[in-house]
Amino acid sequence: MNTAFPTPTSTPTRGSGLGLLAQHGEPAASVDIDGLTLGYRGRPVLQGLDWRLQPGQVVGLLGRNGAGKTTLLEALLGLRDPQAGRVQLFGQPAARLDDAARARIGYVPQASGLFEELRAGELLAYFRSFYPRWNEAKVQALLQRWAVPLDVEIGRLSGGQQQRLAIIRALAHEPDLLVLDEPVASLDPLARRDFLRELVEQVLDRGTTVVFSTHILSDLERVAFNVAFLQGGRIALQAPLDELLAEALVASGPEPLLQGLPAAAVLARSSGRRLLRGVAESQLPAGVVAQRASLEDLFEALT
Amino acid sequence: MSAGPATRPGTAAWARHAALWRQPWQARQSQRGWRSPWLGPVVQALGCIGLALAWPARANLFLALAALVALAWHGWLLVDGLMRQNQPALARLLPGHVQALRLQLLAQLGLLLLLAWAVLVLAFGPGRPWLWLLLPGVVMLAWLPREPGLWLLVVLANPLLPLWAWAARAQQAAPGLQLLGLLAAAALVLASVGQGGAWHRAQAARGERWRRATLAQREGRPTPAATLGWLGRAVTRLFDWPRRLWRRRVLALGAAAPLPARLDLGLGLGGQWAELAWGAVLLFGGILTTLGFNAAAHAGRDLQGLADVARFGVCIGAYSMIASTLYGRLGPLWARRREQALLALLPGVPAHDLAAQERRWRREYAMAWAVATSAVLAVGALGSPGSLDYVAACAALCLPLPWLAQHLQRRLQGPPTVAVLAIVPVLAAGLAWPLQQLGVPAPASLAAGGLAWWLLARRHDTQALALPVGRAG
Repeated sequence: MNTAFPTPTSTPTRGSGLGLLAQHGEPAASVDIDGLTLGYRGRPVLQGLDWRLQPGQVVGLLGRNGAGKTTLLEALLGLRDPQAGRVQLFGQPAARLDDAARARIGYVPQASGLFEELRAGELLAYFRSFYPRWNEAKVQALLQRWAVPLDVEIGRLSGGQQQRLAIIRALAHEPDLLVLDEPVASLDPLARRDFLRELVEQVLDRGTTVVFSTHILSDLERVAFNVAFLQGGRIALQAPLDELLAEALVASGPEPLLQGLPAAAVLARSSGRRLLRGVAESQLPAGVVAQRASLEDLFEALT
Repeated sequence: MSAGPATRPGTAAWARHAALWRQPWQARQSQRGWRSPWLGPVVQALGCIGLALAWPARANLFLALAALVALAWHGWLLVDGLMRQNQPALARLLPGHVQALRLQLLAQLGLLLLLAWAVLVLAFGPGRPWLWLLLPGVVMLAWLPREPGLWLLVVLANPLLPLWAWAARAQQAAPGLQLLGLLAAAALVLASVGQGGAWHRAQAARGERWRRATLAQREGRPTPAATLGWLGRAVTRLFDWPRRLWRRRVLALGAAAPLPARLDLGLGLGGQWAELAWGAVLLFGGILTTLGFNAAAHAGRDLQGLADVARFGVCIGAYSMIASTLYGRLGPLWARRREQALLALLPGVPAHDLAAQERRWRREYAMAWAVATSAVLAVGALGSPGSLDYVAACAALCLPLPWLAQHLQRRLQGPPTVAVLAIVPVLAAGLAWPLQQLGVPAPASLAAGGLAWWLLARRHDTQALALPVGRAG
């Protein structure tokens, strides 16, 4: 399908599906962002963004190039100061996390060729010296499985090996919040499958909150229980992926008929087409043709 | 399908030549700080003009020198710009590219040769074999971008070769032979443009590695080992082994290693002093050995006179060395912001308050300053009366340098300009001279330096002491 949907009409659905608003007495959300605004040299990137991730959620962050995914993830980790708004991790301001909170975070940045002068083994030894908890058995197993040589300078490793090393480093201290910025971009399909399996194991075993940005939609379908679409500096929609795929429809037909559809159900619109959610096919007027929306359709419409 | 607008072959050829000629200038203009390549020649030219005004009798010599340096520099930029476009893939796949480059190179170097010849004739008259002296230089210029090692040949062989005699013989040779010589030079210039063969590809790959290594060094990133050849790796290892040893020790200690040391390692700053100390051993060991041999050969020579002369260079050298650790920190601090993103998330890392780290850096500088000052005071004490006052004044002026470095590193908003810090030891060596002439005694200078340090330590800097992580470039 080659539909071009302009701005979606739906508001961000904080708390939809697994992303429920925290109630009194519940543990602090892993990530709690309110009204985050951030830009570069006068160009706004994030504009009053609200986002909340509950413990154990796995969220794939989707957005076009330049939408601000990396900026959002960096601001989420307190690496960029917001121009307005509030970012909290585990109930603490992201910019002033204590050591205990920092020990609960794993981060894989977009750039993988970091600390190029160190050998892979030295890098892991370096990071191990800071963390109170370090799963050496897991590190060794992943190193072996992903064939990352320990005695080679990182600058001389291939892009894929550097990426794998970064992922091993981020998983080694068994974080409660794992933030991954395009983590599988440099990996071959087998390594991607392995990495995603590891990610799922993390989530199932330890209840880790995972947020990762990616362009590879098929990977997202394999692991993300939730997807969040970043558009216009805000989270346009966040919902459980299977629920979304089951509920979302692409409806096409004469414009007068489409205009009669309930506004609350319309996620995005373009001439002669609507992306709908929460409407059964049987409820659509005669003359409107509907089909299940794929993740590509959703990506196209909501980012 | 419609065809594009028809272009006459002659117009297309001129357009190609114009594009080849423009490209390096456009590339330079788009670079940050594109004027900097001209800074050296401009300063040199101003110096020559100043000398010409000061010594009108030798004005032609100084003005010719200024013009020749400017021409050589301009020629280098032209040749370098053209040769950057001589890529093996383009040479093999783009019809006419090599020919166009060859024609450009030949025409531009020919013009350069004529201009340099005219300068020399105007300055010194036509009696000497200027053309034949300039010709090997022009050929060398064409080959240098592909074979930078030729510099070494120029430096080593130049004093040994009887260039003047050869040029004089060429000047007096029969016109046929002269024409043959000119044609041979032209053929060598043309041959410098590669055609995409194995040799050309190997040279291009080596050139690319060097460019990456130079860029990494300029940006304050570690030079990737992959970009160094075996010789580069061997030379690097000769100098950086203390740093690697230090790194291994810190990593072996693990969590038991002091946090500032671990943070220095992560920031790519650690081990500077070990490396500097080893560099000083190599440098001053070499100088002392040379002086020792010299002293043995010229027993009884005036040591005082030697110290009087040496103090300028010793002061500039010693304080430049220790200052290099200060400005050598700015580049990595800015260039490693991506690494800092990971460091800032590590438990125990004070990413938002580097006060302890800065105290450690200042303390290290103070210790190095004390060692350097002991050495320069020893040289001063060997010199004539007043020499000690001079070196003490120089030492005092260099003492507050870490505060200037700290000021700069707290306000990093882009790739740092280190010229301010690098030039301070030279300025200090210059300013110490009038202070000596004014009769400022050594203890007073050192006390003033100490007082300045104390006052700066009490000053409140409103800028946060945070890593520059997250700042846009």
